[in-house]
Amino acid sequence: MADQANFEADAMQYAPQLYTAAMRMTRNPADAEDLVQETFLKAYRAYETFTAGTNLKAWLYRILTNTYINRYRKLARRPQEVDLGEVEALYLYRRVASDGTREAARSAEDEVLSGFVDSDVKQAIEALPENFRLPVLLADVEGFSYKEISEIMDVPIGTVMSRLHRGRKALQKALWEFASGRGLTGQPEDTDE
Amino acid sequence: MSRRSCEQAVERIYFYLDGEITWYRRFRINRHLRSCWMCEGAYDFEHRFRSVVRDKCSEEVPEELLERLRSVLREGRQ
Repeated sequence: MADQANFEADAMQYAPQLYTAAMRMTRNPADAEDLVQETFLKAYRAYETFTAGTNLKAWLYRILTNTYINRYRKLARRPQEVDLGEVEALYLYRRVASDGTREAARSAEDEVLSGFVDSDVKQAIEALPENFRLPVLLADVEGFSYKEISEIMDVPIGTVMSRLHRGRKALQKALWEFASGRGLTGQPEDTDE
Repeated sequence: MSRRSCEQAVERIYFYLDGEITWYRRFRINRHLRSCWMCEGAYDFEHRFRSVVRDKCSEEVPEELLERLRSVLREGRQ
């Protein structure tokens, strides 16, 4: 059992990360702030049910995710489960890596990777359908394991893996489209959406 | 390098990078990567791509939100 009096000291360190996740979930600062505040209040009230010494960060993300889903999924009048087309493995790498020497390939890769700006990455993540966006966020931005994500989202671990892997490929495809649109890739502009 | 070992390396790339793979598979993949520069390049690229994603999507948390959280928690305590 955790002591409610320690909540602020224990939990405040996670506020910046929770805010980043909330921004990618809600896509705007006002909603992200509300979401984090609601998460903190709920977590505070429930803190005595948290087992001290277990994974506090995962527990907070579980509350954040549930709050987001309950609150915003109702608002968004769109299907909860959106599917993504199949994207081939190594989507970006296959397009970026050049023939020739390892050094030449590496320099082409660096050029594309360093050409992405913050807003590209944020938009590409935010454009993912929610059921793919959450696992990608939780794994690649927050560093949670498959098992932790399965507990945070309350979905089976096999579902986490398949959504995460497919979401990542879709993210690469979206970023490749941004990069080609800006002429970063040395390829003609790709108008094919 | 046999194409089968390349296929297996590609299939398992995310499990490997996520640290969600048995030591034996990790060992076999490491052995393959040492001898196949296309696959080694792919693993290295995916690894760097992930750092780019992580680094480029963090947000500066507004100081006033932190203040608001502290004051909400203080009120909750009373």
